[in-house]
Amino acid sequence: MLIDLRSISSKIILSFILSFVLFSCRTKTHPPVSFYYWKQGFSLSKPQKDLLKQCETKRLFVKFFDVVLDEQQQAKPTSKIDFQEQPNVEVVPCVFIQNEVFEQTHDTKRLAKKVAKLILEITAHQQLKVQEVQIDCDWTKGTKDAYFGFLEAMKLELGTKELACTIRLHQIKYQESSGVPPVKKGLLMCYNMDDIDKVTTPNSILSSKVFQQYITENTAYPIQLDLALPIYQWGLVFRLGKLSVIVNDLSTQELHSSSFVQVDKNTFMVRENTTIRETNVCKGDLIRHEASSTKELFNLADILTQTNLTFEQVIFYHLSQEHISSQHAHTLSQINRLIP
Amino acid sequence: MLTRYHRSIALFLSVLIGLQSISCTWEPYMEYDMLFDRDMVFHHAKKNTTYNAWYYNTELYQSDNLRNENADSWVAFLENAYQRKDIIEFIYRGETSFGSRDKELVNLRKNRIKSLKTPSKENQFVDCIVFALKVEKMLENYLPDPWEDEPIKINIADFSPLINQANAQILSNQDPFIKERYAFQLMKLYRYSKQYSAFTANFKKHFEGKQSMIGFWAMEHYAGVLKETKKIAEANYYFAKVYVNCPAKRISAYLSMSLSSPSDFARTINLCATEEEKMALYYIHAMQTKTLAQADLTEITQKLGNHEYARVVMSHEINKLEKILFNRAKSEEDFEYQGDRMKALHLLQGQVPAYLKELIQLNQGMLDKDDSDAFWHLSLAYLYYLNHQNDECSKMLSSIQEKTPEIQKQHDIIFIINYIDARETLTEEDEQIIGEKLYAVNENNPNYPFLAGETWPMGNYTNESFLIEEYNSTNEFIFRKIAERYGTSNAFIATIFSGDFFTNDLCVKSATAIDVEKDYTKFQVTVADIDRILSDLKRTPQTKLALFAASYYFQTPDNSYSENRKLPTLPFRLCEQKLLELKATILLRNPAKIDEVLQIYAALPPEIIQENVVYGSPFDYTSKTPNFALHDENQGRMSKMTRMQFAQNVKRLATQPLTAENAFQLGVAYYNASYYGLQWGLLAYYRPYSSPDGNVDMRVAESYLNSALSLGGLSRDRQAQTYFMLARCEQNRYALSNGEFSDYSFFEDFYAMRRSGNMRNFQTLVANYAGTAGYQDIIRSCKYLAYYLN
Repeated sequence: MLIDLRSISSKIILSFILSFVLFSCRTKTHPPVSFYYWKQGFSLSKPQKDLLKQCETKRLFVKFFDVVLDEQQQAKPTSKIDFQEQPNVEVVPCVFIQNEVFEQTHDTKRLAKKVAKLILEITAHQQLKVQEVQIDCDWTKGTKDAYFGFLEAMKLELGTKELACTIRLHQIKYQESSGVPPVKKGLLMCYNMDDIDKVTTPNSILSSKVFQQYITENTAYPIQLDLALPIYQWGLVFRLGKLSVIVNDLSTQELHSSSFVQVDKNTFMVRENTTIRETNVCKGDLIRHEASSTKELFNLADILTQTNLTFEQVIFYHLSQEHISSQHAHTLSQINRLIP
Repeated sequence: MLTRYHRSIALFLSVLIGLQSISCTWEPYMEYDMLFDRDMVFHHAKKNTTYNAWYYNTELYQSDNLRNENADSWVAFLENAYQRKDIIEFIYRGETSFGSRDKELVNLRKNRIKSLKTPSKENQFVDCIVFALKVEKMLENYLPDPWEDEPIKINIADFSPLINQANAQILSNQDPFIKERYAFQLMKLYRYSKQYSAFTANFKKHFEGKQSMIGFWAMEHYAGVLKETKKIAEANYYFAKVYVNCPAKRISAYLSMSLSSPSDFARTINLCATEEEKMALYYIHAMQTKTLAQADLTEITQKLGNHEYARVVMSHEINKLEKILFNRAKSEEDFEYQGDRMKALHLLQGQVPAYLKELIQLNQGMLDKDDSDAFWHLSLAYLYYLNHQNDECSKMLSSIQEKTPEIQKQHDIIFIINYIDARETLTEEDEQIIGEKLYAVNENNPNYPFLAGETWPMGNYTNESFLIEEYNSTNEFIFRKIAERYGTSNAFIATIFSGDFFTNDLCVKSATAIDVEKDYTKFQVTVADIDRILSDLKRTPQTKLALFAASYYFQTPDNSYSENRKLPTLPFRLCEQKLLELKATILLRNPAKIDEVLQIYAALPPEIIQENVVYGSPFDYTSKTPNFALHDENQGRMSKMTRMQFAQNVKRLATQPLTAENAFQLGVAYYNASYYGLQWGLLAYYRPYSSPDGNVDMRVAESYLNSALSLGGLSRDRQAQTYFMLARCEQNRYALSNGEFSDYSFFEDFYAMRRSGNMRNFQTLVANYAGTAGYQDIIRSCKYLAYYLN
């Protein structure tokens, strides 16, 4: 009973603060939120469609394919998108390129030609009208030149279509050594913040504490930015001392069974060998459930308001999960309005 | 006092660095210690029965096996009238196209070693290969391009003629071997033209129930078709059959299976008709997925008992435990983490001993049923050791009756580590026992590390793919354990068990430190440090264990880099002599210690004195800039000098009263014996090309050169030469503090030095000696003086 009261009172306080922030400080108009779709088979469930409708989403950022190295160390596309239905909002094709590709690929113009050709083939095949393409790569100091050369070549290949690319937190903090990519628009990725491999990490997806190590009130960036925020959850299975498996889209409810015992706030111990979401888990394994909490998202928004950064739009990562509901729409819109 | 304090700290830290270097030396390969050697207990995995799925033995499973198996089957068909190599050359001819049948037959028959009872078989062979190559060539057009969005359009018209030909050949040929060959080509044609129902019908018609090699090749295609049509469990089932029955296809079948989903695994198990088939799946499941395999292992041991599957899985599980128990990385506990998360860490750590106990129980159960195989004794002994049940480990080891040389080696490895683990301190007798075993494990070669690289003697036990990832780190582990035991209480033991070797360790650290504060790896070893090591050596018993480590540490570089590195055992007497030689070299840098140096040399045997010689005389003055490469090339035409001879000459020239000429020669000699001179080997053990290091101290040379000037009596030419030598010293000193002149900003750097007032000797030289012959000689040789003048 006490817990319920506390929970209710904290919600009231939070709503009060939110209302205060919303109605007293913000005057900027915000485009509707967008979402990432990161699964290979494109097919939207009813809750996913409802969420898009509720949020009045106009754009969906869809991963078209990954580019990885094959056995001969040649770049090759993999996990190509399979449209099982026609999207009814504007699609922004996204391509994830492994950083290692740029360690091995010297002819980045040729790679750009291939990547652009495949994107255009898929869009033509699917009769999609594309205005923007987004490249996702965790480039490093060592691959910066090759990657930036690739982006330059991509711009030429794409003609009038706009090219954007992802920016990770370390790339914004160390922008002098990381460089600023030669595109008009970047997408600041605000997730996967902490060390996923360590069992002592409280939450690797989202942590305002870690976020503040990268973004301070003096943070600025020379190109226009969009903002990507997490709305996913997973279970990290630790076995014999190290991270062994990731169980995507795992909810806490699924861990409330006799096979598991909760050992702290978000960690469960496996009591007996069993399976969860088509994954074997073993006696003694620890499963850390991680999700992006609404509270932390609001904290993040608050930190961002104290910086020099402003954002064109907010994209939530990601729509392609089972536990998504139109009930999220209100919260997501609220967060959207808080973003500077 | 302060200096001595700093030196002791430096020595202490250098000992620690030395200890750490055990892992640093080879760390790029291994993150943990591997002491239960799967390669060894499975006879290097060179037996066909070994399903060593943690890596694939190149001899057993490499792609050539496919060619060999295929060629062998043709050799048998051709009544052994041909050799395997000739058949391989005929079939796998790369880009070369086939000629007419007659021409090909003529070519083939050139290699015939005997006549055939049925010569028409040669025609059948050639026809069959020509047809197979036609199929391959046509299929090349259907290789998918990953960069294309649209799947390749299949033109059935391309396939139909070949399908018809294959069917016709199957009908017309009576020989079942040839029928199967055409049927196999037919399978490929149906599969790649995506005519799956025809494929399935023909597979059942021609291959169902067949146990031939080509039958399993066809089965792999069948499994592939099932996978393409999303029948995952069925595909897994047939891939597993190929995996078990066809070694040449083992890698591809293993990699094609997908058993990580519990439902796929359960459905695949349900398809199995026999226990053997089920056990193969449990085995693959254990090896392929990341789950703890105790459940799979229990299934296998209950049904099959002491089977190869069970032994391989047990090794795999032991290795999982080694990865966590012997991990060399810092544990999370070493870092400052959030207190409330430590509970999770401790709970996770508890999983390891719990799993270890489960494996012990399982192994005990195995031995209760069947104790004939030494493997289970070894694995249980090792598990006991991991669980610190030292007595049980010892008993288990002594229960092994018959031992192959490799089982004996693994036995000895476990014996040593358990012996050390069971004792808080080691007596002389203990060290003797451990040393003897260590020598035995290393085949009497005091080498280190054990299995890293292709070094003798253990290189021949490993295969390359294995070495990339892991190697048996027994020696490293034992060295580290011993070094931990003695810590800082015995500097000699700490040194010889550091995992490094003399010329790479103490000799390098004996260099004159440039700046200790800046670079911690350059901690200088002093005479006091060497004395401490020598004094500890004298109180260290010469046990087999200490001899092993000392022999590795004090090896000569020639032995360590030779292909067949066979290291001799070095008695402590030789180690002491090497240390004394090093001490003399350090002392030799100070002419005031020359008597002490000569005393040491007098007590050393000639072979030690002769180990370090230089070419040319360091006492000769030259204005020419040293050319080290040319000097090395011309060594054969020059006189030799040992360090002892150098010391004797120094003593002769330094005899009081010192004359100006002798002082000049000594200044020149100490310059030439420094990093900057051609005879640098007199006072140092190494000379890096990249930047000044080693013996870079200019003080002794400068002191003698200044004495030569102040004593008076030098000719004008000699005075010019003396100022020139001082100018060299001055420039070297400047470059050490300010960095060497860069090729890219030479003039900028050069004039910065001039502006800073560090060219006083050039200034004197130019102002007072321009008219001398010595000066003219310098002008011709020294570009720096030319730049100075211009």
